[in-house]
Amino acid sequence: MVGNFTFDRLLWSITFLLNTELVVLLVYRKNHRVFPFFFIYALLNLFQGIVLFESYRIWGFRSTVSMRVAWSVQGLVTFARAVAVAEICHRILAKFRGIWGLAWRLLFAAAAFISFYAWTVSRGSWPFAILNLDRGLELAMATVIVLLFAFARYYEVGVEPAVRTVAIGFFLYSCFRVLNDTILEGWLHRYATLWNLLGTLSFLASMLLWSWAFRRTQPATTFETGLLPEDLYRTLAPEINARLRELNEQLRHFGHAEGKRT
Amino acid sequence: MRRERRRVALAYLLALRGDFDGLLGMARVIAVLSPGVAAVQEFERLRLTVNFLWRYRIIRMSVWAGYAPLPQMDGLSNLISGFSVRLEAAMKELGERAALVAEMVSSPDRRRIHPV
Repeated sequence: MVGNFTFDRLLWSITFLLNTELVVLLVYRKNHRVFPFFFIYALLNLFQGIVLFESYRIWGFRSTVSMRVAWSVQGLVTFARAVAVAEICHRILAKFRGIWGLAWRLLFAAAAFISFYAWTVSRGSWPFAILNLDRGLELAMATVIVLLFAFARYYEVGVEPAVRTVAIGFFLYSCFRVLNDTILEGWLHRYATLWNLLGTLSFLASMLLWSWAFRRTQPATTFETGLLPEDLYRTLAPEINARLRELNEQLRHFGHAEGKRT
Repeated sequence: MRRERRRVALAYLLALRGDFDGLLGMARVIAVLSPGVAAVQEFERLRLTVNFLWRYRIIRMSVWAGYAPLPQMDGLSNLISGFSVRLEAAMKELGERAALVAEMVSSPDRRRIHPV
């Protein structure tokens, strides 16, 4: 038990140091101006570490006050992370105005739906309410990141390597938290210590990814592209779709021709 | 003769796929460079793409494996020639109208552009 506690503290110290290093790196490389919401998230993380450490020191690890403080700060940090994920989405797609207009609505709708779903299928009792909310938000963030990459791939939009790494860091961490929250809900008491340990490890991995991503200064603005006249899309898109439909028909016809002869 | 028919059928399918990809690529470029896009058009295209790719793979596999008896050579030739005339005209018309797009896109490679 003592060994576990010492290992926990060691991991916590490493995470705290890495977090500090990330904040310093962001400022030193001037990336805090390029990714202001990510910077706020990293700062809040640092703040969370200090608050948790102090509350555990003053009220003890298992006290109700400590638990309330921990979940309140966690709520704030999770919200900041959601905003940072939105910032990443904006960074990748916003330069393509039309696509961004479609993407943000879709991503927002998907996030809202997933959060609502996670809330409704989870147990309604109050002790699990925060846990469920946390899981819902994490699941929504993971989904948004997957959809974002799907969007970028479908429209062949280039994603900067640093931004991709940051997004992967968010995705891994969110996935891990969803998994962990689900298991924690099932075996709450037995699993609590291990939950904290694994959570710290996954956060450590994400922190390493983010530090790697921000090891260089990122450009303030991404590639700006000239846009086509407004009416070009309105006239060409339906026509192209009509041609695609025709090709589909052609393929169907070919398949049927074979079928008839069979 | 049978092998030849299969070869022609596969070539036909490949050409269909090529034309489909070409149109799809053009549509994506136009969507990406447009100040506003309509969700209906984008979803319609996605639906068509899924539909096409699914059917394409099924037909191609059955032709390749020899499970599906092939249409007669003359029927296949008529199908291809009739189709290619129509498609050629359509592509030409679209190509002219999208010349502006091509010009804009031909500047540094749009695909996988990184700002650094």
